[in-house]
Amino acid sequence: MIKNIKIFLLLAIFSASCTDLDSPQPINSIATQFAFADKESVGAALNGVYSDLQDATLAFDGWLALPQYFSDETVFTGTFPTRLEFGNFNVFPANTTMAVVYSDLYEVINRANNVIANVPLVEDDSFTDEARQDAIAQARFVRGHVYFHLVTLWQEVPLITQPTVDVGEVLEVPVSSVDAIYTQVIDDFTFAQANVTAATGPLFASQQAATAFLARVALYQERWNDAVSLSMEALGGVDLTTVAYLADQIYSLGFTPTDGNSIAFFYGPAEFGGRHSIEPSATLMNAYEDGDARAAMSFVNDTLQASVPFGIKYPSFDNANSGSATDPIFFIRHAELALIAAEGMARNGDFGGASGMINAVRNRAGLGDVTLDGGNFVDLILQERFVELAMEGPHRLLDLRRTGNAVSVLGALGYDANCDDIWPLPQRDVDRNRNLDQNDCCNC
Amino acid sequence: MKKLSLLLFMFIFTVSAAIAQRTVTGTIVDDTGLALIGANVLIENSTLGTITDIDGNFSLEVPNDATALVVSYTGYSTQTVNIDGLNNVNLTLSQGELLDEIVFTGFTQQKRKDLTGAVSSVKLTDYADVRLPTAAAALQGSSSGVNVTKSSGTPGGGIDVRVRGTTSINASSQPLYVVDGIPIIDDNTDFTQEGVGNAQLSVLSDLNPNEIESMEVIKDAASSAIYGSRAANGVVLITTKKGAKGDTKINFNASRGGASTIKRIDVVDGPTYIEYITEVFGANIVGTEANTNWQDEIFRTGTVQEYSIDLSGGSEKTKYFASLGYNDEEGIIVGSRFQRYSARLNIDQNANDWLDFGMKMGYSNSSTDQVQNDNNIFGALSTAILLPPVVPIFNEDGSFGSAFGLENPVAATTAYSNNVNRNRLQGNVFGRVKILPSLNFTSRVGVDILNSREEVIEPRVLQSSATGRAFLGNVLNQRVVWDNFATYIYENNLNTFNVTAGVSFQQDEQNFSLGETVDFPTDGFTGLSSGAQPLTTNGFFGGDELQSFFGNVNYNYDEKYFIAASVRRDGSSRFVNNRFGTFPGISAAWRISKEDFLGSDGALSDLKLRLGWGQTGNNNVGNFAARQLFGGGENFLDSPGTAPSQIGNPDLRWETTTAIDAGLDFGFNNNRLAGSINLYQKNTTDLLLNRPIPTTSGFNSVLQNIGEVQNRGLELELNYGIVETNAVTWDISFIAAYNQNEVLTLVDGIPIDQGFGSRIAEGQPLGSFYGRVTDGLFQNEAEIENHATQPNAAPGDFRFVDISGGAGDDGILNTADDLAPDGVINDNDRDFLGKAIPDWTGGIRNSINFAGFDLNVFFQFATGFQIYNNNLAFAEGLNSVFAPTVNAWENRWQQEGDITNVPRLVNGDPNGNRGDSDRFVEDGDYLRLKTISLGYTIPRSALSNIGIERARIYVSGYNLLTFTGYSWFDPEVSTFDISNGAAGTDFLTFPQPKQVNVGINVGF
Repeated sequence: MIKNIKIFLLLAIFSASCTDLDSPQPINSIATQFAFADKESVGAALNGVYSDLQDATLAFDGWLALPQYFSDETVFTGTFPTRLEFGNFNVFPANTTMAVVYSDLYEVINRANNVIANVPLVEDDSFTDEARQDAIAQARFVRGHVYFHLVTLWQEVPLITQPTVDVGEVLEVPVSSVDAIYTQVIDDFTFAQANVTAATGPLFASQQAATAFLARVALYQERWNDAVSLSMEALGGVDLTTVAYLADQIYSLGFTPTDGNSIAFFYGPAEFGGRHSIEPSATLMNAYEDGDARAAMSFVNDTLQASVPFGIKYPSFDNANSGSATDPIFFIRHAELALIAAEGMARNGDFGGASGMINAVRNRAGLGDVTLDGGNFVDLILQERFVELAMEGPHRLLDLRRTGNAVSVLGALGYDANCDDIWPLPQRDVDRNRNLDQNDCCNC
Repeated sequence: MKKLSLLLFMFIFTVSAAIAQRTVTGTIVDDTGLALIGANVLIENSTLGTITDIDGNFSLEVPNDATALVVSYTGYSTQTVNIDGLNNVNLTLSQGELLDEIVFTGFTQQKRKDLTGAVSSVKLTDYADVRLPTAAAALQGSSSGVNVTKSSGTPGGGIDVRVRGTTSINASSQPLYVVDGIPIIDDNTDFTQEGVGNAQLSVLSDLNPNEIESMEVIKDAASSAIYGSRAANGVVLITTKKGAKGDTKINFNASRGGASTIKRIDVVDGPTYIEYITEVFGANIVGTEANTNWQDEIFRTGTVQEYSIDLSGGSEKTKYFASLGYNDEEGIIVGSRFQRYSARLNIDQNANDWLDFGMKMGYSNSSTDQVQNDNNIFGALSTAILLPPVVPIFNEDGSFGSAFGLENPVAATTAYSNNVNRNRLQGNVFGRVKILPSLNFTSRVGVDILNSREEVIEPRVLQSSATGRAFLGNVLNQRVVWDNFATYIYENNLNTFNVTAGVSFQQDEQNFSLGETVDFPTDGFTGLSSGAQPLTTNGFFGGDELQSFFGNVNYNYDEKYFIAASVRRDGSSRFVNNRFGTFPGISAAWRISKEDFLGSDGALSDLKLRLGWGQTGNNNVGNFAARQLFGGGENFLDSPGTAPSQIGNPDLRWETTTAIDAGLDFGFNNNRLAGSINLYQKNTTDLLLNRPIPTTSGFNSVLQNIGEVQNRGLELELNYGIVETNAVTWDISFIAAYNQNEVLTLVDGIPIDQGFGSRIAEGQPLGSFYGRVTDGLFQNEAEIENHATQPNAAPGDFRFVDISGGAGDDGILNTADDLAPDGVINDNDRDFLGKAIPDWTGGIRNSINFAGFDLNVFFQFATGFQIYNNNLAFAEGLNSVFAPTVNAWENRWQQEGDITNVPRLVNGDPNGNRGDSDRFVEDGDYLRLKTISLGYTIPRSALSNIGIERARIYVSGYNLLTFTGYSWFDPEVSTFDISNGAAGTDFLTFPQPKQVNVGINVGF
């Protein structure tokens, strides 16, 4: 039997050398250098940037619900304690929904930064300079949009423009000033304005959309001349009355049945299979003048249809629960530009021009003209923006804040003059980032 | 490898030096006449010898001058027999005297009394008196330091087995399961992510307990080091039955019984609900006025039945064990059921004088019907508690009643369908070659193939799917293991020496696909392709390889001094820069009772001291966790996209557990009173921890080897034969284990929040609960004024304790340098509120035999732990449309002076009464009559003329009595299933049932 030993040893050695421990490879992921191999893969990475805007928490809570709860346009009717904190104007740093929205926004930024940093390194002769600039411009457009959302809701936040490749202290970035963030936002949109060539709106970045966002930034920064010129440029002479309400999109977040959302599930009442976590407020519903055609396209308040009022800007109730609803999120529309122009003109004393711009919006909705003057223009434009842009994003909250009306309008609901102009930085980021100090929010 | 061959050759030279002169043959049998296979036959005072074959026969060439043979067999007394002038020797060996139980310890077997480590054995034959739902149930309460908790009452559902505490945060905390030498697949990832709560299937649910001979739990690191990188949580060795020479024995088992709820929760009835909703919202906004008791609609008495038959026997050369089994367990919630068909064939063949081979192969098919549950507004129990009782079961038009988008519980249990069908083939084929009389070489190829198909059908009558929905998921998990090892045994009068060395290779693959479609034409269509809209298609592949070298040595001198050492070197494809790790273990024991100075006439019959040290690992992390990755699968407007998906960490390595163990085994009065005490300390370092990183990086965490956790514990086992007469025996055994867990190091000391109210923090045990501390209710405005600023507080709201003004310089809350309380109630005012891991667990078992009757009573207990009762945040929230409990409704604060612990009713909860706080932390201590059984064995004389050898009838009960102060369904609960950090949370979890069964065992 002794002679067999060698055979067994060989067997043992063979079984031990079966593997170099390298054979299982992932099939759904690749190393970063392969992700930017050529022009086509850059297109995929760019899709990844846009796709992140659709993240479920970001789509509902981030773009829509949290700032809407935190205003007088909707009422919190759900059960989630973290959303309730927004409904109560009593947001704590440990609010997990807010933390997820915040991190989702930075995830988009990191994806954009990856494209911006890697596109110049792609070794592909068919990838022209113009196409490279276009890819970078689209990524910068998205990044500018996200930073604008951050700076308006949280004010000072970390400003990160490089992709994350390493861990350690390099990730512990302190906040930048509001001015610095606005400067970056303007830079990004200005670059996009000049370099976006391939993609066209409204579902992708476009030169027009970049201009439109620059107009909005100018309005928020009270640069009235820029607000007028940029909004007029982006409007491009469109006659609003020839474009249906909500069809005047310049930049929207699109969805398809296989790439859908659940937004309507939260707005919809039980009768329509919805969760009804968010309800248009009586204030909003009463804000529509008689005969305003936009009311019927914004909410339903009819006990024959449902026991509760509900918003219908996102009306695909049938497919919402399964996440296959296709309702777009309207990021910026022509009507907003008309109202930006109106406000800018009025601020500059051009009440005639301003009246013309606001009346274009009103007439399309089936309402008569108003005449703006130095005494009424702030309220009338605020009112028009309220009903025109209802439930489309943080418009109402930000309009009340920037016009100094937040406390007078929202104070009775719980808005604290001392500290509610800012949301807390998420506690988990404060905990993980030694260079990040909490801001001056309530409960901080 | 060089070392292995050197070792082998060394032994060959030692044993091949003698010259044979004549042949002695013989047969070795045991007391009952059964052949002893593999008994050692050695020429006295030499190293020459052989082992008996499958029939107990041996043939040995001996030198002419040899005078005696030494015959030994593990577990039996060694005998020396004179062969002077004899050519044929037949011997009967008797079972050894004390504790001579055989235990498997990895690649070899040892006498229990020779163990140097802490190994618990469970003989499944001891459980013939009760119906065992799964093999894991036999582990419960049978061995100290092995804490077994069923996460829920879901049939076939998850069972949490922890050996000596929790050693990990992110990797698995479950032991390595080894069936007949082959580590089995323990990955039960629920790929479809349907909201079935904690209904993940137990890893052991595919095994029929009737096929199992014994289970050994290796608790100490010195003994488990032979399993290296997978042994940090202990090892459970499962050995299936085998046949013995003789006529075919047929065993038939049947049992049937019922499972029902232990208790129900008192939720308000319809009229009371109308009062409630009117008080919150000013009107009955539901609109209907039915009075439905939803719990009555979903709970039932489930039928539980089990039938199995096995055949065993063998000839001179061939031994076999074959079995068939059927197990059927209906859950106490309508719509839940677990069925298993199982078959096994084990064959041992003695081919010739140098080769044995065989096969151990088990197949099972299981079908599990699940219902949605737990944190899910469509869950069966979730809605049976929370859906207003004013909602009718059916509306007038015949549709299911519902409100606020909550599912109708009857629809959730009858219309919803979720079936998991699993086919599993697990076993091995082996060959063992006798190279030399005392040197064996074994080659063994094992497989574990697990195919699982999950189908979910949600017809349009459900709230969750207005247009109908179907999921179909397929998972194929495959494992191949190839072990090659050699075992050398040397024994003489005083020295026993046993060496094993080998290599092993293991490859795993997981393949998964999932399809989901919506928009079905009618509820009559349930096939995936009937839906108009495909929603999800998903595919996944994963795999890993493990390459290992291992060896161990056991030596004892005169069964008085023992030493054992083992080492394993594992290499894994999961890691990049640190592929190989070495895991050593060494232990020693001293049988003090054999020392002369103790004498031999005292009451002390056994006393053995054990000491051990070892290192083991845990590699249960993602297959590709070390790599930096860009993921696909992004979709933007139906165009494909990519995105960074993981920050890599090429320096990842194993988690390492270093443990020291000490133990004392003792026996008095010929071991009528016997027991042991064990002490251990386990420090687990390099914990694979998701280091939370600033989310501004675009990532939430990166996996690094950072953390450290410590487990310290004490285990007691006592066994006493109270009555030991021929007519009556009464044994009582008591086990208890104390475990203290502490997280020593986290990333920069930053706590990690998990679950609902769970937090992992340095200095605290894993599974700690965290939140605000309540100090009664505000009775009036003045009390609010006098208290720290608490936004939105009103009389009847909780008063929260002002604990801290924020973190000090270390940036970490709840540490010594916290700022003084600042007079404001906010997120800084949170503290640790309790823990999910019990201080003490254990059980008491009574076994009484009298005149053919046998009575077994087993109590289990756990004490020194809390449960996070998140049910109350909803069922006692008193702030929304959810139906409240009677307790919340009747005891709510209503006016100044009300002394109660339930706050006021208020729409919207402005004070945060429902936030994480000690309000939801309850003591979970319990004492439970886990099993009780009474059996009667019909006298053989009454059976012999009808051809039945043995017959026993029994009645058994499970969970019949529970003593606990816990307010919800049951203290044995975990909504997050097997969780390290968020254990012990109860949230609308499928409760444990109680069962009564009647059964019969018949042998032919």
